[in-house]
Amino acid sequence: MDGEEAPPGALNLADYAPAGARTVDCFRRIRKIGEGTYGEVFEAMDIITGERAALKKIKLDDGKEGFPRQILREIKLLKKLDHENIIRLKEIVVSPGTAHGAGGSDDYMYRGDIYMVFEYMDHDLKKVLHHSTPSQVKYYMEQLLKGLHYCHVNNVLHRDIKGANLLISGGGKLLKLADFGLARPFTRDGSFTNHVITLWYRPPELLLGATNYAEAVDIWSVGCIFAEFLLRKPLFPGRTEQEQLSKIFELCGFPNEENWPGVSKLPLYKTIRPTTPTKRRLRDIFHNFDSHAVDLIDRMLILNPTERISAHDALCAAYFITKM
Amino acid sequence: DVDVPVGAELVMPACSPPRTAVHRPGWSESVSWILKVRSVHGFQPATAYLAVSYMDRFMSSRSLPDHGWASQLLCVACLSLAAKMEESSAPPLLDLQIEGTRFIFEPRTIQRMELIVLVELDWRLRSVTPFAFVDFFACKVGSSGRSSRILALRA
Repeated sequence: MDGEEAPPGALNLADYAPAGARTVDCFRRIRKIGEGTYGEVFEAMDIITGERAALKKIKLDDGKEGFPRQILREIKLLKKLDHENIIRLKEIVVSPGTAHGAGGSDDYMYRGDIYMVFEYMDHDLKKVLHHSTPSQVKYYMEQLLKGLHYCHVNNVLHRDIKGANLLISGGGKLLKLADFGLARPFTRDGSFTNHVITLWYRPPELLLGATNYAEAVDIWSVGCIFAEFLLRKPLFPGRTEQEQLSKIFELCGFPNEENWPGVSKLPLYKTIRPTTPTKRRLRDIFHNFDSHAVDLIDRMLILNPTERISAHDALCAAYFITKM
Repeated sequence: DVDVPVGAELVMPACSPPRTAVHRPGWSESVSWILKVRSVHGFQPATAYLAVSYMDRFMSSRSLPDHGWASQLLCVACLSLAAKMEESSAPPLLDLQIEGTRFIFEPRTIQRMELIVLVELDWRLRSVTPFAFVDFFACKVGSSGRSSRILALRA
């Protein structure tokens, strides 16, 4: 280290309380509605406007990286994305400073928390996933795909599509994608971590260790949600990564160079063994359902990610054109 | 005579900064420090550009206390934010404070400054840098990724 220590406590930032920045005191807390990676989520009401909001608390610790990178990226993405099926970040507020009341010491001025203020939504999709009518399912699926298509057009992968991250409001009429904490911008030759997406909704390429993946990872998750709507139970409820893969192969067949060119080069391909039967029999478990719906699920849950349907093409599928 | 709208200088890129920024004592020292740290860590040119633009935007709406360490702290905070936005892996805050820094700040002090910068910039960090266009035009010329990198470094 080539420098002197900065004078402790010399950072008199009391005068630097950013003008115009609102604090969390502008909100009246109503109830806790959830728990995130960085802190709790509250339902609250704007004291001035009376508007309801969801406040996601971000606890700032004394980590080595300073302001958490993941939060910075989530804020950046949410500011970029503006679509009716994507949750809107209304503002960011800080916890109130103690400087003014504490006789000049500002040492704790901004230690503490910040809050991301989102529009309020009634509940998440998990609550209705196992008891929705076919027309509701179509309505939710269309909005989910529209929001996702918008993300993909803007080169953003969500990477954690699941019931708890899809929010519903307006008496079940409006669906929005939320929780972009794992989302990130992508480029065609990017390389990412494969430790994303909740296990049940995680696509085979990630389970096989791929680090170069694209939009198709989100489509797999959408396919799993779609199937779960119809079956009224999770499609692939694996408890371990190994079991997750077995459950997928049981219905979708075993991957080989013929049905998925390049699969044998994935890092974990050698660790898997074919189970019987190895033929694709996904459609068999849906024999009582709307054939257009089953066609679409079938095209979303294709092992080879490059053959999986895109959000755009899914929205043009016969399923969405035919009326109930 | 052309009518220049008030505040037009704000849209000028940071490589020809508003007069007020150039005349600010220590501005060129701050910029050259940022450039040095950029090359030590192998950051992209856009990262240094973003850091300078955060710094200029901050200084155009606020002034700092008259201590030597204050502008250095601002510099470190801006570079750290830019690295987190642009680089696939950003070094720990202590490793950013190299190349002749006079003071060493604790991570929590930098974090506090980062937050002040973030609030002051109204959390708008996604400034479009000229490098996005360099890439675009380099592709149009039909060059490989390598030449676009050389172009970016020279820009």
